[in-house]
Amino acid sequence: MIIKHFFEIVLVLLASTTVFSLDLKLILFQQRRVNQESLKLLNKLQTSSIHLCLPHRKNFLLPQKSLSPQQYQKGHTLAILHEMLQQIFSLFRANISLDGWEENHMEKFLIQLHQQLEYLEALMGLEAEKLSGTLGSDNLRLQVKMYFRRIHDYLENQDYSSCAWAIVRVEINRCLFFVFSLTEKLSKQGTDP
Amino acid sequence: MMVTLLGATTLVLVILAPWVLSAAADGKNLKSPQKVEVDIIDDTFILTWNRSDESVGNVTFSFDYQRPGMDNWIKLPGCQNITSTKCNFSSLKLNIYEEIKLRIRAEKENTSSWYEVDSFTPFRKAQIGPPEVHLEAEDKAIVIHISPPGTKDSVMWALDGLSFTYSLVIWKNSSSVEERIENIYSRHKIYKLSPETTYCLKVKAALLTSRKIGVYSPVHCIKTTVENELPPPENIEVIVQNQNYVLKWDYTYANVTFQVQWLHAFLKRNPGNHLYKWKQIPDCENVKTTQCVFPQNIFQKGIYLLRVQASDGNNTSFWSEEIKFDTEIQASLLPPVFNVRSLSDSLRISIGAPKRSENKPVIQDYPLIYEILFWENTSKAERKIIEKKTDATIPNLKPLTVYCVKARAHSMDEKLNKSSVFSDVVCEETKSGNTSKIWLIIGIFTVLLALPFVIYAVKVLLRCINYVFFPSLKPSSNIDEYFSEQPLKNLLLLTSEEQIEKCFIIENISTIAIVEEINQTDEDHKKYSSQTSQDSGNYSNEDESENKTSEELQQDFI
Repeated sequence: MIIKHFFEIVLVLLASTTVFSLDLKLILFQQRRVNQESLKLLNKLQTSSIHLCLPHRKNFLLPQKSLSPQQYQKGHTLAILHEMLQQIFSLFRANISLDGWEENHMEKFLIQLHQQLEYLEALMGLEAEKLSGTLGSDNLRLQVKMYFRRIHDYLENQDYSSCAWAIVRVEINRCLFFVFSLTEKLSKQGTDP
Repeated sequence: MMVTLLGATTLVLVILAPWVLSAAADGKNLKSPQKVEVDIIDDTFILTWNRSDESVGNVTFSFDYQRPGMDNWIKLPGCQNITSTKCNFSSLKLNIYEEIKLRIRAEKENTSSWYEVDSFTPFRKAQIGPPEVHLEAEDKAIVIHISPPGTKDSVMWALDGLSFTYSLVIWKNSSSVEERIENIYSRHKIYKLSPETTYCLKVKAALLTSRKIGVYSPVHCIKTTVENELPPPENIEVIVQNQNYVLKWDYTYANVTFQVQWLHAFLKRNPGNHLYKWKQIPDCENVKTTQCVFPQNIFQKGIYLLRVQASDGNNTSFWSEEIKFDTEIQASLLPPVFNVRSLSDSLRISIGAPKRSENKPVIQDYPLIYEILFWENTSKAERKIIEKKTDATIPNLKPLTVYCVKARAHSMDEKLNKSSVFSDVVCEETKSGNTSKIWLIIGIFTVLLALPFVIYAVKVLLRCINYVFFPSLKPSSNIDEYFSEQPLKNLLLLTSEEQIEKCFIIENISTIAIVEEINQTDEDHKKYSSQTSQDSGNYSNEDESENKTSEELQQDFI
């Protein structure tokens, strides 16, 4: 009797994961694009300028451990993803001092990022009723905010110099890799509540 | 003597004790306030509390604060020696995402003890203040510019400037009918209003992700202008055709030219950016028809906004409503390509990626739903299946009938409401039911027949493998029955040449006896062995083993 129901339950779960995973696959695909674009931007930085900027390096303490979704609910992962992408978006929209080529690619990067944000927000809208445990995700968002506060403070202290921006861009790349691993975990989590 | 002295001192102490205590109490009768409230609106931090003892006058209050992980308390600037019950410590540069602890005490001539206020995180406690609103009037629309709450260098919302969403309430000055508009960005346009009417509105900001909703701004009123001679174009839509986008709209008047502008959609979230400029689409400048065609490669992958304006030389209309246009959704809705496989009572349809004109498959990374229509070739009755995956089966069909199938794709997101056109029709005949059933029965029978052979083959194979790779080193258990005596067993297992030689010496007497015994009982090995052991008892011990082996050999010959 239990076995009979067990199979039904398994079938239902499998079916729902495939249906929902289509949306998540899209987000994953888009995140890959975002990361690619960011890498392109970064690779164009001259190696000589990177050497010059080495002494300005700083550890921004990306909170990887505390934000890694081990036993997290899916809603929390979405919240972290959304907050990180939003912060990256607002960090780079202010970066006006770019030459023609870079501005073009920065625009492309922002476009991709924005598309990803829209898809995430649509997904969060769908999940709004299912989201529970607001306290948990608030705390996680605060941690992300603190991390970006450190980045903003660093930029301000360095007077937004080109070296400071180069260091920040490298950091954002690290951040995007982390975001990508979160996106992968999210698409694997599927319909876990 | 000692006892009396002791008694006297205790008596003195007892008498003096309450007096001492009361003296101390006089100094400590100041109580610290117990109820302290923290109010944070944007960047303003305000503390309010109640006096613990109304009768005592001339009391001042002071605050200390402590950051997490620190042991020392620091004086809170702006809240030292306050005579009233309210103070403002906005000047302190805090990390607003960190928890902070406060404590308060009352002071007069003496100081009360410290009372610790519950710790809090400033960002969590903060409330959103009213946003700034700026209005522009058109004839049938109002353009709203909203600035985020707080000042430009606000610390509280420094990282959330782009995350604000706004909602507003609008009403006609004359009536009290209110309309609510939720979830708008900093630049918004309200359409379908009446000309020459005064409208009033108020706006509030929200940070939905932090579950904060702010307070309403003060009411702003504006009067719409006189109706413009030329109305703006309406019902704009974008469709894909070959390698181009076709933009279509409706317009009631003739003899006008149009122009089209576009904008990155993300700039709506961030209007302060210098990139916030509407740009022209060159192919659509001064077109005379209510449509214009432009190549797809003008727009990179992304989300854009489009607007159209009409002009007749002297006058220009206001801009039309802005439509949202996601290249991913527009582009990928080509009709699906599929192939049909026929079974006896169903058709299996597998949908593949549609091909663009140069035969490169399109990556369907946007989630789609497929609508499959099918009908019998002879009738017109169409039936529909909606399928989310790229493999579908149409069941319950009649065998040996020709069915025709066509399909189209829809975007899964209903809000976008995008569909492709129908694909080409593919007709396929279902197979005959009987043949398939016969094949099925034959198939089952062959499997059943083959099964024992397969099992046998596997058994042989396993035996082979066991023989080759895992030879049994133990002698078979039958040996125990033949030879219960140890030295005999050892001899059998350890053959030596000497023994073999001796084997050929045969005693005539014993052979006859053995032959008889064999004829009697073939199967009863146990009985036989006991008899042979009896026989061997006739011989000397040394020869026992030899004779045993010779008997064995005799056995074989017989």
